[in-house]
Amino acid sequence: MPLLDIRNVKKEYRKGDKSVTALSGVNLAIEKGEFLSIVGPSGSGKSTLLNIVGCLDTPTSGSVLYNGRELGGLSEQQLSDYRRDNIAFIFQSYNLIPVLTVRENVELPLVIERKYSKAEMAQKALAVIESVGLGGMADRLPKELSGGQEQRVAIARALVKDPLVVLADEPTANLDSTTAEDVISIMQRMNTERATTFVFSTHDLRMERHAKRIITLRDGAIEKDERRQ
Amino acid sequence: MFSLIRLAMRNVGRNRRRSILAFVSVAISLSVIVFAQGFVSGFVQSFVKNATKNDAGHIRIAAKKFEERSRFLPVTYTVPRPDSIIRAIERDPAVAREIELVSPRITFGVLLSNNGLNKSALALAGDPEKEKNLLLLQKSILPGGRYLSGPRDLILGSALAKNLRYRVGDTVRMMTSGSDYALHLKKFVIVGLFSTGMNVFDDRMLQIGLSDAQDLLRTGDAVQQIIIMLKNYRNADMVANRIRAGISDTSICVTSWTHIGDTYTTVVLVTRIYEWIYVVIALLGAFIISNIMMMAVLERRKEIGILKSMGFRRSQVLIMFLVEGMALGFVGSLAGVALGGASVAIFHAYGLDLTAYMSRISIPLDNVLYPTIGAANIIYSVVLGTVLAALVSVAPARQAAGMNVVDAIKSV
Ligand SMILES: Nc1ncnc2c1ncn2[C@@H]1O[C@H](COP(=O)(O)OP(=O)(O)O)[C@@H](O)[C@H]1O
Ligand SMILES: [Mg+2]
Repeated sequence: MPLLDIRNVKKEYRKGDKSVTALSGVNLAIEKGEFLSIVGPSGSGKSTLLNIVGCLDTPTSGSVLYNGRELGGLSEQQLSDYRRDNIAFIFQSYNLIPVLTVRENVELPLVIERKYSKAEMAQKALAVIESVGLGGMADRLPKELSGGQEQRVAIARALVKDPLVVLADEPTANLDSTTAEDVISIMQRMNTERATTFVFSTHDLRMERHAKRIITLRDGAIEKDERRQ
Repeated sequence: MFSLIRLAMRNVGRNRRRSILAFVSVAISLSVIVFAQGFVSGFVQSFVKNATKNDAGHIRIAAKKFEERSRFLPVTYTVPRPDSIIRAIERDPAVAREIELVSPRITFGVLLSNNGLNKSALALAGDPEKEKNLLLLQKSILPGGRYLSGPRDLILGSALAKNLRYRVGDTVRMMTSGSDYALHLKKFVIVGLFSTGMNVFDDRMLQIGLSDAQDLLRTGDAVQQIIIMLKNYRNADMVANRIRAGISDTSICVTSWTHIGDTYTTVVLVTRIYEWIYVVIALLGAFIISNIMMMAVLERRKEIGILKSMGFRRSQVLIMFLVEGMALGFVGSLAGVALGGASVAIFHAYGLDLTAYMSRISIPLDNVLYPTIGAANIIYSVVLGTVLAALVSVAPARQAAGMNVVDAIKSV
């Protein structure tokens, strides 16, 4: 059974009497531990697909199954709780809460889980901050970090709760290419070390080569599905 | 929950200028409220004292049968041996420290006649020295007259005197039925006329000494009522209960002003009206918080989206913004209460002299008001400021909580 099973997902946006098709019937199965890249030109539906997979948005038709479980009928609060427990997001930029330090930002997912003591949270957060190469920066505020460092904190925050899947929507789009490579390789290392499933979108062809599997979207449909060894 | 509050607190410190604006606005409105409360309670204190001073005082000790028929002011039902009751009251420290004045009194209706003119009048008889602090008529004696100083002295309302064509120096033959139901006559000399500006006094009141009244009415040492004035009118019920417990004679009854006449209803009404005025002032002060929170929500759309994408529930986002608004209100309220409290303390020490305006005011008041404030006012004000700040933050907080995550994340 795949970790994520996307079945014939369609998404239409209505604007007055015109309707825009963002996804036109996407079928995709993602296994645990995959490192998958979604590529495609701007407007091809990458963000829409990630948002639907992450329960931030609902498909017009079709369904998404998580470990064989369909989340279609859940209430807003149940979806919030599902995201809290299973899914982590990394966005293009401004991922961090500016009034919280690096460590507090990374602790935030644990704080809302309410499962850990203060000491446990601090210990988990510091460990993952260390593993993305930001040891010693735990007490800095986001405004004191570079763009690449911010994205690393975002990765740390995504990983701290050991989610089912990390969804990253163009995480490198605002970075120069060396920093971008850095960020992707950290994601890659985390994927190998922790077997965390990563799905990330990019329109930068140089980033694709890190992926084990590349899905190409065009006009809301899958054009290509390639695997590499 | 804890970290939600922490996050909210960090957000308060985020835009200093705005938070200071909210703080100042709430502080100003709350200091106005506290000062108004101090002024109103000083005003009510003075009003209650003056509205009750020629009637039952804050507390009246009288015979039960008198209390049942008090509007006829009978002199047949009296309190025997008033001195021993007064001594007992003054011996109880819990009562004594509340008391400003105790005055034994007889009040009765008389018919005055002069030159074929008749007028009914109300005679107030008390210890002239004590009544200087209560009726205060010595302050309103017209030139050419004086206050009571010896037996058979009488002072009379100026309008009443005019109607009866009485002058200072004239003799008044007062005839009335005494406690023995027989008619008695006693001659008095008018030593002064008073003009207080208040019709209740000037049109129908006269004052004589207590022993003259006891002689005229044949009451012996007994008096009709013992009037007690307190430092704080609010404690009347409590003090009355305490005094009542100390009196074993079951024919005597102790009544608080709250149970006599309609002064109490008036005070309650005035207090209610002012409470609404306070709410309006506090709302004006808190209103700015609503605007500030609205701006904050718009500015932090992306952040709200990120928090919600992490699994923050709608209710958690709501609480976070409510706490932020409430914190602004709370801190502002504390400062406002401190400021207002300090100004009340200053005016309490020096008094607020209203002599210049008194002639235009028809309600009975002292010339100098002493604003006062209690712990209850302070707690009320802080709670009011904080609760209203939370209330005006509900709309912005709901907007934040209900934000669509996908839209919120797209915005930068
Ligand atoms: N909220 C929306 N309302 C209307 N159209 C939208 C909305 N969001 C996305 N779209 C449209 O859906 C299509 C896919 O968009 P998106 O998923 O953002 O693409 P990508 O992330 O690949 O650039 C685009 O044509 C876009 O204009
Ligand atoms: Mg996109």
